[in-house]
Amino acid sequence: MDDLERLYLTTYPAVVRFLYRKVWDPDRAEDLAQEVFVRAMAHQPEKPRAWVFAVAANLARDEARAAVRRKRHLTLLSNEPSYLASPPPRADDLVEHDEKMTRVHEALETLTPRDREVLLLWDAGLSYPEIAEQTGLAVGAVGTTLARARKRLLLAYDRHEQQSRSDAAHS
Amino acid sequence: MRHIPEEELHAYLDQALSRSQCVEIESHLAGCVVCRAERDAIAAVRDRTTDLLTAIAPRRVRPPSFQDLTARHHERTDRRRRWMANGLWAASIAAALGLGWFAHELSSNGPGVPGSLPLADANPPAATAVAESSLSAEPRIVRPSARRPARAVVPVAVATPDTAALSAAVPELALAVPSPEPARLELTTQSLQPSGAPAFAGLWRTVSWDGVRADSTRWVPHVEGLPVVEVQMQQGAGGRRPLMVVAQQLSSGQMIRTIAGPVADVSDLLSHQPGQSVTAELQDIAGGAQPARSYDTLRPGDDLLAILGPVSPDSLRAFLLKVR
Repeated sequence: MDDLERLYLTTYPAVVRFLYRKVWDPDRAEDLAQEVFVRAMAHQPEKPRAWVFAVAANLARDEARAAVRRKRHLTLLSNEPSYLASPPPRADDLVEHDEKMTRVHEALETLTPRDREVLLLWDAGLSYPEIAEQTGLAVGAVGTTLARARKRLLLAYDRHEQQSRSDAAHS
Repeated sequence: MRHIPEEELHAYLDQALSRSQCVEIESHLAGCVVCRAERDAIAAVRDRTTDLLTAIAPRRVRPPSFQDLTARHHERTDRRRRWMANGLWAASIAAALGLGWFAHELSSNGPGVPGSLPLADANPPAATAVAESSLSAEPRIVRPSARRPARAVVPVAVATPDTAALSAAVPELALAVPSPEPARLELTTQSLQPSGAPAFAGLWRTVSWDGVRADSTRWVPHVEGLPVVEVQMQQGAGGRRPLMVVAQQLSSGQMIRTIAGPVADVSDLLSHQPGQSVTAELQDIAGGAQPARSYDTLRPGDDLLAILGPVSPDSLRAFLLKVR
């Protein structure tokens, strides 16, 4: 089994998750993940794992830009930020799980793009040096960024949870 | 007592610290109850974060088999190879260079006069549109021609008023032109004969890519992004600048070779290739017959850049942008 195949088998789910958290469409995430690996076969990168996530991030960013351009032509009727897309509801999910996913999604969106990116890369399994290379941070700054990102994620999540609980209590 | 900073504990728990740093932290933790509590709190933060992030993941990820992906990759390279064999890539290269540019060159006072074309010439929108469409999607035949040879040759001249401007715009391109006359860089691409690698006449030695990059004061001709397989340098004779041939490999396995140097030397080199003529032909792009140009229109002191072999449109476009 060659290196790329091994990488594919071990990291494909992580790549899909990483992409899903950017494009918020499970099918699109899988399409893009497959595209990344097909491209890796053509390029044969020296550092495949880092390369795969860098290309994935680029593809997702291009998708987002295209989507933003399309949205600019639409009139926004609500106050919701245009980048916030709710995940599609699934019939077989527990209602609880859906709420948690939405809430985590919202909490994630409160992070700065840099903090969010570092957090998602770490969750995808990249090392500090790999994260540093991809984001342009110094290796030492990765720990600081993760510390801040984690705290803020939890804060935002707890705040929203408290909010909806008190809303429910008062209704 | 100095307590461990928060971010260090995060890094420690992420196993991102060196062995010695870990030992230092652990020995401190052994004697500090405050930091132990802090470590436990941060461990909880990490765990909660992971738990929350697990919630946002698509259900039932079904990876296609690696063989399926490999098949897709081969299908893509086959398509590209077929495309290049048809000479269609040459049309897209011509388009990428700007239709307007060609028109200007033809309508100016003649090939012998240095063009007044500014270096930072923006592609006319029409040309860019053609370039985008022919390079990205499935190739459209710009002008099908039965007589189009399998080895497509597309010359492009970057005419400049003076070397200084050219060097300033493209710092790597430090043309060491001895004559005071304005220098020009002609570019040609030629397909290699299917039989394979050309054998260049004269004395050549193989040098390392890193070595050449390290001590070359001038730009080394190569297409960025492709693995360099071999660099051959000709023994400089009679005070002439040594020629360099850089061999690179495409992902399809095909080889391309890039050569830059004085026109006489490079065309001499190329003319020794069996079955290849050095006469350049302009591609029939915008319609109407284009006159054939030969290299005797170039003047002494001009440089010639030749790429032998099929180059993917992306690589060539990046390369040409760099040269311009």
